[in-house]
Amino acid sequence: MPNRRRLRQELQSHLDLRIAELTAEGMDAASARRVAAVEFGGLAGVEQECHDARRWHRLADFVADTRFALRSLRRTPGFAVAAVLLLGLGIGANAVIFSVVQATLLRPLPYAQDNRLVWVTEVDGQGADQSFSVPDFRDFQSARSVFSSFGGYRDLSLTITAAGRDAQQVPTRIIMSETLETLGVAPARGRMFTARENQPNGPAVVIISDRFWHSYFGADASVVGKALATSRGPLTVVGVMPPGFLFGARVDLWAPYLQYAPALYLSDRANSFILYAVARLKPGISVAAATDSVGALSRNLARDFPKSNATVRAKLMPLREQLTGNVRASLWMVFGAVNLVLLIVCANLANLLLVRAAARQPEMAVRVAIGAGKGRIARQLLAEGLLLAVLGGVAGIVFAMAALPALAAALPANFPILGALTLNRQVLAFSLAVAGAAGLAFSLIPLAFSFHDQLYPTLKQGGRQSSRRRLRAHASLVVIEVALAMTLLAAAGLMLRTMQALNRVALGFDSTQLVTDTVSLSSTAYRTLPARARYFDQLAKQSAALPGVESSALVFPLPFTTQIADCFIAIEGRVPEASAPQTSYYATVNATYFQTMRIPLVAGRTFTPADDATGAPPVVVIDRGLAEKYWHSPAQAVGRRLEMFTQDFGHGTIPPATIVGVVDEVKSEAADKDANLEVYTPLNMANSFMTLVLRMRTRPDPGALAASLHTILRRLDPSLVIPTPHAMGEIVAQSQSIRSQSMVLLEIFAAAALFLAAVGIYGVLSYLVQLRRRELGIRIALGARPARLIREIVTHSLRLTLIGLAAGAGAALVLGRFLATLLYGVTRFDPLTLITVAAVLLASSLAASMVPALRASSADPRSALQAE
Amino acid sequence: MKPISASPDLLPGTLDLLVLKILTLGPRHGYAIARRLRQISDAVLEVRQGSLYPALHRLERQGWIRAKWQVSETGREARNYSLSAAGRRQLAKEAAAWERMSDAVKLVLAAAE
Repeated sequence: MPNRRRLRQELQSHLDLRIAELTAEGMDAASARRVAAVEFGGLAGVEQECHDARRWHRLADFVADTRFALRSLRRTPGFAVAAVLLLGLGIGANAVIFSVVQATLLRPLPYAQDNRLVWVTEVDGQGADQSFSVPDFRDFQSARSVFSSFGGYRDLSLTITAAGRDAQQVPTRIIMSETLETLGVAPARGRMFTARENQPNGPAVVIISDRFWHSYFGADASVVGKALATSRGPLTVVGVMPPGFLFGARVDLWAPYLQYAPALYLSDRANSFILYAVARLKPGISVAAATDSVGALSRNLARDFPKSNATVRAKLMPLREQLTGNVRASLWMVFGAVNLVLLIVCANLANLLLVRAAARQPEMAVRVAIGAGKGRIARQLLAEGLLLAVLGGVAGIVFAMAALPALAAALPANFPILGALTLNRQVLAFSLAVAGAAGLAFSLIPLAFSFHDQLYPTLKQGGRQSSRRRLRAHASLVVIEVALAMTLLAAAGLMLRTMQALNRVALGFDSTQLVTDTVSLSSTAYRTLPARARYFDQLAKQSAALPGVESSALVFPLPFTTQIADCFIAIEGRVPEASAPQTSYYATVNATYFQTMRIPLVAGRTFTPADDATGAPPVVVIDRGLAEKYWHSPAQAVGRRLEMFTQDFGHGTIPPATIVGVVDEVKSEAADKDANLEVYTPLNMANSFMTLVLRMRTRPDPGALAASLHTILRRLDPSLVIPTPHAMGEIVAQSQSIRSQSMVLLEIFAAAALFLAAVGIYGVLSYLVQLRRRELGIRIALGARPARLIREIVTHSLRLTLIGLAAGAGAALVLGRFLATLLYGVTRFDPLTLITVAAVLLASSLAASMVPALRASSADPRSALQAE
Repeated sequence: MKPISASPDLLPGTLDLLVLKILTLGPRHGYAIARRLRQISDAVLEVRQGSLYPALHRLERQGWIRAKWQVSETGREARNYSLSAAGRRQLAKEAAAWERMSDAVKLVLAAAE
């Protein structure tokens, strides 16, 4: 397009030439100019017309193409509606999953310059996570080569015990100095911890979350300086973090780490009170460079402290990877699956458009013959595809808006969403781009085959013949659909097998008929251990008498909940070489616990009611793992003594206790994780919290049980808040919720893929039979047996399916690599899965080709010939 | 050349056909096309000279003619138009259509006598 200056120059040169001609004929200059101008017409008007001739042409074409596309879609409303719905579901599902991907894996972390934040821990020679010991951490913190700041943290629960309120457990993160500075987020009110507060014996202070400030302090503007009553004594609130600050799942309190770490740990390099580091890289330092640097630091420590650090090395990863590590693989898998489904949708639509293009071949041939450019026709086909894509995109966004809240509600609590889950601008832009790409994909394929055919022969034959190339295109699309469906089904099958394997894992207890309910005691009446033990003992006895209850027990913490209680233990007679304390998890239980949970006794005895009584001689039961670790066999452990140290839950010091029995191991975190070492203490060490565990005679119905439990709890103490009972089976299932939910999504997408592939096979075969109707009719007239025709059609379909299956199986084996971290008890090479899935697809393909095949065999020779 | 305003007698599309035909004789600029148009039609077909240019730009947009700024032998810069291959085909098509049309009109006129 020449610019306006060039255009004016062109028009002016016309005038100049005319003026020159007129003057040559003898006219005076002024008249010549006037005559030329009049002859030419208004210069500005012509200029505008020239301009419009170009621009309007383009726009008018676009409008015409779109209207043409609309008209042609309206002529076949069934096709249009089906295509838009199919595409809408594909794009909608894609938008929903992408919004989760975006909110989890792509959105910036809510910290300043989040890409420079890394997470650091220490691992042993086998790569098992050990976390930092305090001395190691301090060495890393003072080495300023690659980190501009170096903070650290550990999670625990603090018990809030304000008078007149129910005791509540609040997720707390204890942090080292520099931690909030590292994240680059300052408190909205008040201040960070001072150097003195970060000392082991510093003033007892706490920083609270915006959420906790609202829920507990009612957004009291003068909260800074107020005291928060806890089981560890009053803590002074010194700061309130800004809303949206996120550091630790649901964490509401931050407190100085060193005030919580037992003194033993402060100088011990061999043991960790659990301490993970979050650090900020100096500008210009890459993650790789930082990894090298921490490697060197680890080697120095190993050289200087061979006893404790010989095999220990630091491990570093971007903070985001650590935060989203538990969902990353699942999420990409589901996102990959939804895209495969969309590809199958596109292949199906391409097939349909190809059929339409073939049906319109005569029309197109005529239009080319009467002068429409091929470019124009191509644009019209493209306009039709893109119009479908835009309509499908809009339908998809509407669908996603409806589905997203449901998905958000169904996400497990431990899903690391960074902020709200919404169809924000990025998600919308992505979805529209996907719709556009899909539109291009399924309209360019038919286009590519539309112009390779000779138009004029088509015209002569009335458009009956279809080129070999086009038939091959149909066949290729079917093969692609089958291959994609096979890939997806294989992944879904492997996930299904994983869940089956996980369900078969022995948890060490029987969760099928258990109902649990966590009861918390307010501090005033139950400040002493005997008072708590008395209350819980009554609760256990009375609930055991409820109708349908077989037995009743108490425990804290309950396996498979996020609550953990760990202590370190000193084993009598294991001095001084191993004086370094060993860590273990522990749980407080009453005498009926093992029987109620059906945890088998291995040696010695379980607790008796006498052990639960206040003032009884201190005894513990340990699990097989702990017994085998220190005494080689359960039998030898019985009668030995151990000492536990913990400051969790305000236990303080616990006297050395005799091991009276050994029970089997129990999984306490997840089915695919090893059992933790465990010490069980009797009810005379009861917390302010205990979980009531009821074994029911029949399938548990927590709802029905709630009312009768309510009555007991009211009678025991009307001032307590009544919690809601949960089935233990559900709690166990929740530990696999991310995996099982991504599996459910995967199964849905796989089912969609299977259905779409079958529809694709059905559609293409029907079309091919339709094309060959004349030939089939003639063959029947000449005496061909129907069975032979059926076999021919079905064989054709099976051949395509088999090629697709082979390609899909290959893809599944290669892509299975990305599933490795999600699989349990099955490998990506699992022949049973691959064969089953292939058989399912083969059967679907057979079913899908039967109808067209039967139609072929019953082609009426007369009508087939008359149709000419 | 008489100053003529609009040309109500010119059938739609005829101008395109005539421009394409003139360009078969070789590339030329707008003024030369206007002059040639007038000469060969014996001044029967009158075109308001300004209206030639939107037509030229439209034909260029459709790819039937190509335009290029060139310096003429008199040293003057001019925008020269030439016929493209597509334009040549288009001309053949339009010319054929025109013939059919004019034959048909002649037939009708003859039959009506």
